[in-house]
Amino acid sequence: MEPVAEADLAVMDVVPASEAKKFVGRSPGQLAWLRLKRDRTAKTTAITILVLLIAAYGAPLWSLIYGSDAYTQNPDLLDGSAKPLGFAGVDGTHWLGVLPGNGEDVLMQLLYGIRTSVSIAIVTAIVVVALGAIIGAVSAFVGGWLDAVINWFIDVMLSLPFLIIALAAVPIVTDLILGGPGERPLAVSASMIVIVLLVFGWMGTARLVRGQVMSLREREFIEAARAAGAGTGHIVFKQILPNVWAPILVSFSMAVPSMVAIEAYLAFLGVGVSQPHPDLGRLVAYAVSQMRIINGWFLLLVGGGTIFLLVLTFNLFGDSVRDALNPKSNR
Amino acid sequence: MRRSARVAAAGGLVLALALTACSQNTGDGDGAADDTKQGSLDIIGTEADSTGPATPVADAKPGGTINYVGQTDFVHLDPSRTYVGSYMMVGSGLLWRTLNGYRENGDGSIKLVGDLATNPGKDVNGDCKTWEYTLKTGLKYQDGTEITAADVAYGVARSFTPELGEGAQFLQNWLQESRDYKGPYDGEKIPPGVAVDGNKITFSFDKARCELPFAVAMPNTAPVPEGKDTKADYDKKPFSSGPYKIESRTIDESMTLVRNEFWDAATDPIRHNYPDKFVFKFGNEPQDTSVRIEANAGGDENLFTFSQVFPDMLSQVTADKAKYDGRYVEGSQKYNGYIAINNNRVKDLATRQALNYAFPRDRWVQLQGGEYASKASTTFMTPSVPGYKEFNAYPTNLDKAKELLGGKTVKLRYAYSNSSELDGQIASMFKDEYAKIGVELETVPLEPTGWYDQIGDPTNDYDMYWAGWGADWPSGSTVIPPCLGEDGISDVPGASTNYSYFTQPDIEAEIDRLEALPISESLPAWGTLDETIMTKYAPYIAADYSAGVWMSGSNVGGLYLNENLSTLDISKLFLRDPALNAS
Repeated sequence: MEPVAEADLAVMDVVPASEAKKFVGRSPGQLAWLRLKRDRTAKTTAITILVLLIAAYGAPLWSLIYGSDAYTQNPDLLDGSAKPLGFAGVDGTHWLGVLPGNGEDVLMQLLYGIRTSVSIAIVTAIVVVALGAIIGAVSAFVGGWLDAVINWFIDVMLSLPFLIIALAAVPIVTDLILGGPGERPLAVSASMIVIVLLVFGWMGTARLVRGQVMSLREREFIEAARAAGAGTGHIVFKQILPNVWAPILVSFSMAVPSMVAIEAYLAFLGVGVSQPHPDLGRLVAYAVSQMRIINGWFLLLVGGGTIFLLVLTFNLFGDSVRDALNPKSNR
Repeated sequence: MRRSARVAAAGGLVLALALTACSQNTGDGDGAADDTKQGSLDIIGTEADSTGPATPVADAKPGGTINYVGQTDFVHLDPSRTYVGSYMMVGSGLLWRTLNGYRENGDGSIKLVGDLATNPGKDVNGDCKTWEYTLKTGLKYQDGTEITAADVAYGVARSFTPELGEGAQFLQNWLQESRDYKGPYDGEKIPPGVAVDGNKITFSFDKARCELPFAVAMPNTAPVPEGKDTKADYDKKPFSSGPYKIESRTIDESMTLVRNEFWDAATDPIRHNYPDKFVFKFGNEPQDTSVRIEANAGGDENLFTFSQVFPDMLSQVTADKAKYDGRYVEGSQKYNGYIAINNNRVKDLATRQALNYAFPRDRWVQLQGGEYASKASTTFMTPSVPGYKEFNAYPTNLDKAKELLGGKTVKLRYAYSNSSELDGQIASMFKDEYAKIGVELETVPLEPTGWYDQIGDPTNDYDMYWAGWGADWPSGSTVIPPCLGEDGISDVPGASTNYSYFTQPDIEAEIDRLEALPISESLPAWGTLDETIMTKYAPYIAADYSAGVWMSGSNVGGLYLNENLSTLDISKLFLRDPALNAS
């Protein structure tokens, strides 16, 4: 019998038993992150979002390079009745043409509009989700009459007609807060929209979190914390909420596209960001006023298409986040 | 296979839709012919002009049903309460006759003539204080009874009633300045200053009222028999003295007019009765109406409307006028548009003059929809008013404007009615343009409802805002005193019509002087006063006067823009083929 070659023995020696059995412990968060990284949709949408954010927030830089800004008026590019000449005013200086009326550059209006929309959406989503989460958690945890009152309040708020109230309230409340009619800087208009969206947006998250918290409320670790003398505040913020971060995160990622869309509706109906500040909803309104000529269709494609892209991208990304956090919810 | 076919079809549909609108905008629909008719000073007609029948409309023939489509119903058809152009057109064109009226022969001419009266009025003592009118014979209501001078007096009397007071108040104020008389329901049947003797009616005034013939052409001299006066309900169904009567009416839905067989064309120098029937339908959005009339589909050929062609469609229609030959009319209207400067706040003449020198009139016209919708103007009176004087006191000059401001930055508040995106764009345009001379404009959006209440308040805190005005009758006396004289300033919020809150003693003296002159002298003098006010005080910025384009279905002929009311002249319309779409 021939002896086993030394080289073979050496190979068998390389992997010690302990290493072969070594496991790396991963938290649910890390697992979710791994799943997200592997998801192709998530990758594509994340890159798209990044590109959009760079395009939007870098707009001041791009306007320097491009040569036009969002506010300069070009009446000489319009015909006698203030509609853009040529094919929607598209030419070498204005890649997406100019707006009817005063002739502002569409590309810059688009980029600044995306910036406004995304900013309002993200800020609102954060505040809405935070507020909803806190109310939902407190309501579920404290229970009893407080829970009943908050529940009833949520039902009432959900039954109010959002659009009608928003249309009526925004101008009135703006005038009230600012003490009379006057010009509204961009910050003021945007804040008013955030407030209106906030008032009507927190209920969904509140209900969601309330459900989660109710199921966590009776768990042993809560009992243990209570036995150890922890107060309600500590339990809610340090024990419970950290355990419901998954639905909160999903709620947030779904709120962002929803806020983008609603802000566009409000602007289209005339109660959004005011003239002459760029806004995606108003772009669509301009498009609608020109539907009898090609300008309208083009502007609709540009404005409506961008809103569609934003909402779709954020929605798909939100879907991927949800799937990553809870793989059992896969179809 | 099926799936791809559907996709291809959808794609094809989108492409087809895009291609129909695919022609590039070359700006061809821009230039409107400048055919604005100037009001003639020879406005008072003769007894011959006051004799019927009215000048026939070319190619007109009797018969058929005309269909009206519009958004809102005619809220006031009671002659005491009518004050809106379209209501007055339906009322005075079809339903009632007045003491005097305007004879428009269809060639741009307009003359004030006797309608119920034999002539425009007899100044008995030559001092304009006593006016006598004799009624024609053979005038009949819709039930065959005769129209009497007493009925005319009663019509004037009921227009004094506060509840029926929405109409013009000139005649009433002239007859009794104190307005103690409150109408025939709790007072005399004949108003103060009026006397009836057989078929004659006389008006007496304590001051010279040389424009009385114009005042009695207003609707409130329409005859109302006392027995047929239904007071508040008269709005819904006035008793007809005109060529048509109301057969049926559902408020806010529809109205049908049929011929008044007792109306005698030989006594009427103004109206016609070509169609057998008028059928009115309300509740249609202006844009839908425009689209429908332009499309002229089967069944729609008998349509007409008072609404102008929707701004969206304007350039498309005007770029291809030949296509709409025979059912298209364009023209200027009597309404001016101006930016009132609040003289209570902007007290510095140099600032007001600078605002005038720098006013971006071309961009204003552009944003209003171009030359078919708006004609640039540098005067307060409009060309259709006899006596109009063309002048340009402040031709555009940015350097001059900057010089007047002395290099300072001026902060002003421009208020606008926030009814559409366009209003915001106009505000934005002003902000941009006035920044060039150092004026920092704060643009203030106001709620559209109650616009006139807001700017009609002398204590408003805005510096510039849009306002418009149309002459009540062809004389500067109904334009300058209400808008640039102290009579137009009222403490009651919303009641002021002098939105510039401008009044100066020398101008007031001149207004008083002109109001006492006979018409032949006063008419051109108003034009000169217009220029004086602007040159000396610049209390407002002249912007434009309105114009429009109107269309009808292809079976409707006789389209003519009425000079007096600046609406489509309903009494000249006829059907080319009476049998088509008859009902």
